[in-house]
Amino acid sequence: MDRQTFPSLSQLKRLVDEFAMLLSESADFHLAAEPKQALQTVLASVLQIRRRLEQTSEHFVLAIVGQSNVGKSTLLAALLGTEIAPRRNGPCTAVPIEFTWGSKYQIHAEFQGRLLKPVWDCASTSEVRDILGSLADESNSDISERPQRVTVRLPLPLLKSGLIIADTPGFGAAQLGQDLEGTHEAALKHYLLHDVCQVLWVVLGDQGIGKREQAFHDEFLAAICDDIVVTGCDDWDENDKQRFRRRFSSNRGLQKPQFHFVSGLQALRAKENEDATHLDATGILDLEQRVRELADESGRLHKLATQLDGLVRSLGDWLAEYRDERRRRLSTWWRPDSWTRWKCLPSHAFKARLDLVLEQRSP
Amino acid sequence: MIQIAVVGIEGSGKTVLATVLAKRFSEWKDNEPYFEPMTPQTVKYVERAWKTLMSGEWPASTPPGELPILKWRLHFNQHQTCDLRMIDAAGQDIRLLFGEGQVNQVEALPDHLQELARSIEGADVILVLANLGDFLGVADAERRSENECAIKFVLDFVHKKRAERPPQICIVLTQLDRYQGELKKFRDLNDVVKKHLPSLHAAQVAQQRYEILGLAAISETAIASAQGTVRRVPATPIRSMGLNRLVEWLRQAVETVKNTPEPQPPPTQIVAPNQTESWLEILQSSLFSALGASAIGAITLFILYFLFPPLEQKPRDAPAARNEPALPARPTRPIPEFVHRHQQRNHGVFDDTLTIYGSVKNTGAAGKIRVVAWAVENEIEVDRRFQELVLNTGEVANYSIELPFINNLKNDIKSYIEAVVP
Repeated sequence: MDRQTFPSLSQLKRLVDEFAMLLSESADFHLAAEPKQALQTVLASVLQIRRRLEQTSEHFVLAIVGQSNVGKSTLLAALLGTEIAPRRNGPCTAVPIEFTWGSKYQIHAEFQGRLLKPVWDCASTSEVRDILGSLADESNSDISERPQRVTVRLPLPLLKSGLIIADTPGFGAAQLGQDLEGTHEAALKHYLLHDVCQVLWVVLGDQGIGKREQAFHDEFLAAICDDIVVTGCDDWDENDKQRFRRRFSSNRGLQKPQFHFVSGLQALRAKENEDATHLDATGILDLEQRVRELADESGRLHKLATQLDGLVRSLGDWLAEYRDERRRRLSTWWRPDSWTRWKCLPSHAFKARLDLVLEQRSP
Repeated sequence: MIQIAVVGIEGSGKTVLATVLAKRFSEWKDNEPYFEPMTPQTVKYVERAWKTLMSGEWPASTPPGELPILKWRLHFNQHQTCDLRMIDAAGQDIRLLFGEGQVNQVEALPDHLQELARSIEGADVILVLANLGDFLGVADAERRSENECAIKFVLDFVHKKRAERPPQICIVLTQLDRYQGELKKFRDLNDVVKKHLPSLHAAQVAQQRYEILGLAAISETAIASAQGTVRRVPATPIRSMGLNRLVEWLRQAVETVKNTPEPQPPPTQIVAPNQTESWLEILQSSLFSALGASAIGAITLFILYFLFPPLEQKPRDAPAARNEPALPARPTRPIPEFVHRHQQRNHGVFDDTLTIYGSVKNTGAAGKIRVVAWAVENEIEVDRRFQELVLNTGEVANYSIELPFINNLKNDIKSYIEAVVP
């Protein structure tokens, strides 16, 4: 899709909203089960795009999510180039920690029932790490002393575009499916559903993706995850990586996931030692490039528009090929009044491009 | 007493219209309509529904068994004032009343259903609310016909009941903001009704019994999604279109009714026994078929009473037969005769639709006639539909039956039609 047909954010939002309505109303309209199901399937994907569009404009939160002890904090340290986040081995705080741009090192915390938000000015990354460690300390049984939200401001170029990277507590496989109320998983779930725009899903290479991890992904990550970061694969060759990709690259969301094989610890060491030769081999540069892409608002928009375009084309192909039990084509694809509303939307190049597909069998 | 009924199937926008009307005209201004609430319940009802609208949601429909009665004093201007009484009934209650045939045992029904039945019987002014989406947005021709018949039969029987003093009727096309593009295809709203509510149009509108207005109580909506579904919700601030015209029509309608003299009953009326069936029986016989067999979209009725300065009440029912002279033998069953029969391809909402339409006359006794149409392709029947009409003796009615989704319709397709007494 060239830049000339590229819609603005507001145009794309309107288009996605109305396309979702067109799909929803037309799915209700059709009597045959198969077209109904096809439209509903596409609607589910369009709603995923819609959710991302809602969150794409202001604070773009990229969360690093994974089970406990898969190397999330190490990966974050490798990305930020400094070991700044507290290790969350063992019982840990429910609070995700957000890293965002700031001209100096600063920590902001919010506590339940407190109006004033304490702020810590820090001189170095080690001081930041120490304070975060004390905030994450759960030995304090007084729940009012535990923070509800922690934000760390850092003068890191990667964050300057407005990107927020969040370090999240690991989800324990054992607790999944149980009553999560009051546990850190409940907080994580809420955070994923309400604050996170996209996730880097961290999995351990040796263990692959287990059933419980998959269940967690399907429930909370499917709509917001395009990237799987594989850690613990330091000694893997290209064949091992290909095997992993083949095994776990089934369609997990809007599109097939991108795999990033990263040796977090080696990347951190290479950065600290300014060892460019080894840095490339750790896979962190590829991941940084991906994070930069995600940080670029127009890039995100372009990707969502491309996804919508792809969905429309796939749906168009399906509907054109569909034959009912009497081998008849669909006489109309769209509910008549819904189609009229769609046609009345303001026209622009991107919409015209979609219309070429959609109006093949319009009422 | 002048009584106004607002009729419409579920989702046509009755609660929203009442709420927005009451809020829109809730401030006293010179020469502007003003809805003055007369009971705390009315204030509470409106405020609750308004609060829901302002939060970006639609108000909930009335639960079955409840019959909230709302009262306003309606000031059309400084000189015209009347009292307004509104009953908001649940669609399920209407189904119980008509769809399950309990309307002919009205005395045995709960109070709120009796109240509902009485309100329908006495309506002098009727607002028929129709959301075009219930007609042009429904692929199932049977369901579409049910939606239309639900409105048509109520009106048919109001007319039958009030033949001596026909009510003022207005078809109100609601949620018109959603159909602006559709409306551009038509010359006026009359053509819209003709196209999308053909039976209603043929039976009533073509005879110019009705006014047709369009409005949108909520003219701007947003799109919200939850749990994999998407829907339109009210956008704030609430904006409307067409309300002033509706209130003006109401004012004129009320004035017309007020100035229309009550009909004087004839000194002696001779009525054959088989013509004295009560309106309840007629309602039951037709609406049972229209509403009862399949799951019809629920209907909710608002009943509005405009209470004017006391008027002398005349009995509305025809007087009972007193003398019965010897009459020639009458047919005991309806006898259908086709007057006109036409067919047209792609006449309906959909492509590849064969529409068979025309008119049929009942030369027998009053009752129900079923017009059945079907298409045959290569000696195989490909579709069969029917429409039922309730006709008095000698009455002519139009029928229109769509045989949709007949693909590859060619010359070797034949269509047939017959009229039978079910």
